[in-house]
Amino acid sequence: MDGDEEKERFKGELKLFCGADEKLARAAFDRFSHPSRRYLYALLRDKFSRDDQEEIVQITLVKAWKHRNAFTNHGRAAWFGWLAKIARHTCIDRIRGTRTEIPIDLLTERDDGDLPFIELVMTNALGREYFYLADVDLLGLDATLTPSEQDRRLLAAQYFYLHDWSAEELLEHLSETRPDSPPVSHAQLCSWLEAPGTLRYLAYQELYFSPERLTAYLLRMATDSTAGDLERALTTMRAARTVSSGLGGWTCLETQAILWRYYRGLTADEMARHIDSDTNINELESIFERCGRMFPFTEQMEKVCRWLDNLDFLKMERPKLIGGESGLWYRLVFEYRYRHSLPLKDIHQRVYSAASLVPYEITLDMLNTWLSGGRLLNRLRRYYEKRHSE
Amino acid sequence: MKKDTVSETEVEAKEEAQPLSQDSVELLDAWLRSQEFAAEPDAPNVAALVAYLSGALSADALHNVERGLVLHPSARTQLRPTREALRALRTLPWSEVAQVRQAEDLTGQVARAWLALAAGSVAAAPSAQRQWQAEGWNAIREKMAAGAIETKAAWANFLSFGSQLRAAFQRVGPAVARSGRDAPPLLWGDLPPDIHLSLSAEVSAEGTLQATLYIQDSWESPSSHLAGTQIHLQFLVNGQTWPLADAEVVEDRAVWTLPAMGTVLGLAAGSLPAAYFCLVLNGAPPPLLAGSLPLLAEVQDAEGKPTGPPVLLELRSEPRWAEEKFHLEIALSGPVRIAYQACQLRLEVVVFGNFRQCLGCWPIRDWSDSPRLLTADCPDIRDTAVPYASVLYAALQPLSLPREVI
Repeated sequence: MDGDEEKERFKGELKLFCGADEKLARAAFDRFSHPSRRYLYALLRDKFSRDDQEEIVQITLVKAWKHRNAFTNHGRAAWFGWLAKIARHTCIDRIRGTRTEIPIDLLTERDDGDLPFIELVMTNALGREYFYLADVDLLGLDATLTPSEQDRRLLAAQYFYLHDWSAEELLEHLSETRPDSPPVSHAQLCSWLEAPGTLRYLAYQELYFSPERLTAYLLRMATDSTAGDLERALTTMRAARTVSSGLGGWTCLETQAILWRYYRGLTADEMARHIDSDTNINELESIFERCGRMFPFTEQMEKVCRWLDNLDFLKMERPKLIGGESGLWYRLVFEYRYRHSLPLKDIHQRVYSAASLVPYEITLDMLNTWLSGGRLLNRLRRYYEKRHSE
Repeated sequence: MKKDTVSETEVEAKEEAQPLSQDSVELLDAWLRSQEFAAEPDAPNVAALVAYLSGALSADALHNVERGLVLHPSARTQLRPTREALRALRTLPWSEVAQVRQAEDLTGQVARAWLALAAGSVAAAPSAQRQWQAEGWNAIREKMAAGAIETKAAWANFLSFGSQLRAAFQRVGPAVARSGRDAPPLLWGDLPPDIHLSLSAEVSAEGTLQATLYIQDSWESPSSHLAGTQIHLQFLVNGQTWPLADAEVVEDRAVWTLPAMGTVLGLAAGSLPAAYFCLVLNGAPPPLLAGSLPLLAEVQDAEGKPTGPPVLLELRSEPRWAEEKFHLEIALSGPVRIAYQACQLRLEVVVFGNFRQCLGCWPIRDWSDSPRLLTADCPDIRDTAVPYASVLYAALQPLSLPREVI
């Protein structure tokens, strides 16, 4: 289902939800309660324990059903905004240990003019487009190119810079793989290879570690280990009886902990419930501290800096290319936050040491401003609206 | 450590104009975090890499492979050995590649994937000209993105015909081929009396082939006698034709604009003689001009490089595959046999893009005045016959040519 179909479907469900027929309204509510739950968990993730989250989500949905007559159907964005208001009220009750009725003014939908933009993002963000726009806006890739053309250029740059292919070999390869396209000239290839956006993207690829890549790195597994490989490793570790049969020099228990933490994204607290052992949280934290010392980010950044130092043609100053003015760090944070839903502290761990080599100091407070303060979303809003108006 | 406070403040000042409300930020932030975004592609496997390297993928599949390569360094590393294995396999006879594919190593995997592609392409080759006749240059170019094997095969065989055209130029010399007054284009179909045609064709600096047909009466005045007539433009090389595109006559002329054709076929900018074109009026049946199928063979030196003008071979039968064997009857004239007695004839079959698969090599000295029936094992290929010669590539090369040069 594409974004527009999903938007219309949700709108139809909300219409039933607001309608007079209670049976139809209930059925519709049940159908969209899954995305609503997921949304509420994301809203509460960094603020409450798992048990508290579950309770708040449950109470919020009960309240939403109870007050459904107060909701006016202005679409999906309005629904999630309304749900957030109820959740906030429930959270306050939870913190104060009270259980109060929601004041009527809280149930009134807000209208601050942002809803059309939010709806636009919700409609268009389901595919790769949102991340592609982040590549273009934050890394400075050529906005006139399609994602396919962009990837072709990035791949050429990777082969040239990282795999030592000659320009001649690349040109031959480029024409072989697209026999129906006019051949790429040497001058065109040079312009691809020297584009600041391309160089920045390559730096980004070196610094970005998906949960799979980071976990495989820590466990010294193959660099292209997939989610399936890691799931299998986890199953094997859970079935293993001996404590010394882990991966990459870790014990079986340590391997499990690393898989839960860096691949599955659980906290030490949450993890204690999943590991069949009497390992306490302090021991887990100690494993993660050791992992933190092994993180590859500084080393990768040094590699990137060495590579850039060797590019004779490079005219752009370092801060503009990969420093605080470059968008590179925004892009990394964007990926960790929205593709992997990492908490602030985890994102900070993945960027601050590498950024410090530029030098660029990224603090937790800065990340908070970028994310919860809306810096990143505001920047993308402007770009997104500009692009869609074009 | 220097804190980048100046730029931070500047960024803040620029970006805080008309910001989203705090509620909206919270809403959008949580909603985005609650989404399961489309997963990025996995690392492409060997079969996907072989199809990619062979130009056999649709636009979407090609992007998926390239995205996978961008994201997965290990797949990127595997591309070069896959490419090298593929190149080596293409030079072996089909039957040897079929043996190699039994192996479980990288070469075996590459051989399996490649032979499957090659067999599919050969099976689709007989309909290539029909597809060109029906759809023409612009439609086929657009359909290449969809990646249907029939279209890919039609394209590859057209490129091969283009190489025959270039070889024909080479045979008479490009200056001769592209100079002088044009002979009238060959016409297939009924023309009203006292109507004369002249064709002007040119490859522009951007690589567009532009052909204009002028229709005149016997006083050499523009004539609209053929207005509304559909005319199909075809290439004509050594008596063989290849359909290019339709155009309708408007008033006294018909115009064909074929973007990038010159670039794709490697034709330099400049005029093309009308003798290299054939015109088919109102859907007349395609002409069968030659009794045998002529094929120009490249002459190569001991290093495998082209040397001297190409040699014309006469195929006395259609190239065909039956019972997992390739069959071709071919005649060599006395002068060719004498001039190239220390050479062998190497035949390859066109697969995708400019890629071909070797079928085998046959010493010239084994020919006599009679045509010779050549056969070669091609396991797993379907019975098929191809009604044109350019599904094959031929080369005359020294008998002692080492395999690595081949």
